[in-house]
Amino acid sequence: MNREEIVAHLRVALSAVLNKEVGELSPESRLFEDLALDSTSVIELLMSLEDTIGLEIDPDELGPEVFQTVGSLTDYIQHGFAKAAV
Amino acid sequence: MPIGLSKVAVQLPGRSEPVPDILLRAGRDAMERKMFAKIHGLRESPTLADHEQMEDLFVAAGRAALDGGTAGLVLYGHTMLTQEFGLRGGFPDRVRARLGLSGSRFFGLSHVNCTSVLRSLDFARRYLARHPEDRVLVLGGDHGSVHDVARVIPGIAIGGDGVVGLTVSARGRYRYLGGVTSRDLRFHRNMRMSPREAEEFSRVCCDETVNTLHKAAAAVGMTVDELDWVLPHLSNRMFWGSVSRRAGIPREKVLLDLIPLCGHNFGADALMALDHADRTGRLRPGDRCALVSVAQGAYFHTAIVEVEEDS
Repeated sequence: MNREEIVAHLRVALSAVLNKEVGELSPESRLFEDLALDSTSVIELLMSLEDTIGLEIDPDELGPEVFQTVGSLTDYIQHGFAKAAV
Repeated sequence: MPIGLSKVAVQLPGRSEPVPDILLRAGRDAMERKMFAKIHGLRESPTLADHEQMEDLFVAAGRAALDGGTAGLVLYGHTMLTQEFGLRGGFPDRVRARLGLSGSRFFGLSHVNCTSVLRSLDFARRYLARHPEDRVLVLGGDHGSVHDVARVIPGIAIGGDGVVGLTVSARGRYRYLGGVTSRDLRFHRNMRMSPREAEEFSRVCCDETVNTLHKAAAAVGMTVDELDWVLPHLSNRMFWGSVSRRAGIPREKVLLDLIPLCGHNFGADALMALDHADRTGRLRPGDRCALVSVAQGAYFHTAIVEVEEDS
């Protein structure tokens, strides 16, 4: 799955978690400050992606650095898919 | 004056409760229950049975730590204020009497939350500098199950009823090299922090835990690379993944085995991990271990010990 597809899925999942329509996302969008997520809702977001796109979360690789921006979260998801493909 | 710690006596209640059951009772939703299991790795929490008393656990831990000996001072480190002092009047007198320490002094150490037990080691060292032939009995742990509201730290951890006891004296199983403590009182509202404060607290916790590890290692003339083990506050797995990466400490040196088995037990965590490391044969003479506590408030403490030759 390429980055554009991941961001598209993120947008759908974000809309569900935040219970409102989320518009275009830029890689620089900050999850907490700009999108009003908190650390629990970010994990909720990732767990919903497990159900919808088959992402496998590796808790050992999760941390505050993953939750900075849409770009850092996309990196984490892309890395997760790359690992699963090996 | 060099001091040593005895082996750690761990006392768990006779039963444990599944973490999802506790979360459900506390009104936490299904997603949070999944998060605690999958992301945090928390599955069971030691919980007193109806017929059990915390006081009995402390006495059993103290008796095992004293190993037939005595101690001139007892220090009890606790996180919650609704603990044995508050709930059952006469607690110190009864514990002293049951341990044969009626003539000893007994102090509680609190208001630094989960760092209270490791902080007790520094107070023990101060005492022993003036009474080098004596011993200090350190007790730690809280009655987490007394109230679910205090036991559940939303999104972070659940506290159990496990307790520890150990003695501090001129020599022991572990040589105490030193401890470093720090605090950030912006987060003094604890469980009443706003969502924004809680987010900042999460970030600061990781940074300051790493800083305290570096400072403690430097204070005893080493670097974190030279640590053989990190014996952590067992709040949750995800936190330690971040600390490990940030500090450059390999994950296999951070002993997280107990997280799914008995989870977080307030200030007793790092000493429970030390006991587990020893009992499972991981420790070798000369190994240097960092014992780490992280507390709401916020407080941070790292103590460094070195494993002595087997006697």
